[in-house]
Amino acid sequence: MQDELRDYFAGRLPVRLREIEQAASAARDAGWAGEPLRVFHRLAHSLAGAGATFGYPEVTEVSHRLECLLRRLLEGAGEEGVGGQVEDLLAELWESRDR
Amino acid sequence: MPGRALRRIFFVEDDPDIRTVTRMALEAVGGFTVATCGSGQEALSEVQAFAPDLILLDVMMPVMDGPATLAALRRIPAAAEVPVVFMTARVQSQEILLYKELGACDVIAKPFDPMLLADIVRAIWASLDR
Repeated sequence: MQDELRDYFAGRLPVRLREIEQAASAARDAGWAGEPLRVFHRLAHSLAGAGATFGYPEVTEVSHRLECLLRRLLEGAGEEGVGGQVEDLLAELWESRDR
Repeated sequence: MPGRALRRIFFVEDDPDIRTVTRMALEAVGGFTVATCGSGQEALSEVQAFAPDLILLDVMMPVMDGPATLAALRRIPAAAEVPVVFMTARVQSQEILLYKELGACDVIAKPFDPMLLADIVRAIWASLDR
């Protein structure tokens, strides 16, 4: 069943990553605040949980770093260069699906 | 409640992929009968018809989170006494204590191993008899 699960999630990952990219874009447009940021954070949190469950620990590791960054923003912490950090993490997420 | 076999599990989770893997883990590996819901609101409207032995609730869901869903389920006579297990990545001891104070009988940590989930659920069910 583990191979079956990995194959299933491999097919789902591009869809989920595109969904996260759209959420990132909406959060950026909202100034990294409000409901768009909460949606982006929730998607990163969900992907972190799903990755390891389906046998993709690297996806979980990168998603978790993204989730932590977004949680700090939700808690009102000032962050330098949020847009660049998010872009880097999204690029890492696309790479992590191949590992 | 326990004293009888665990057969029917109701799983509430907003992530469709986690719903899929959990259903596979509990049906194919565990042999349980499983119904899933994508939100707390959906759970409130469907729980009575399914009549579960046990409810698994994701904690972090939009609109109505796990604790809010649990509180609402307790007001539905058919679900008022059904044991509820929270599933969450936040499993520090004080967080587990809080979930139990809210009425959960136990907590399953995320991410979980799909091959072991049925055994974890069975162990929780058995612990309810003690």
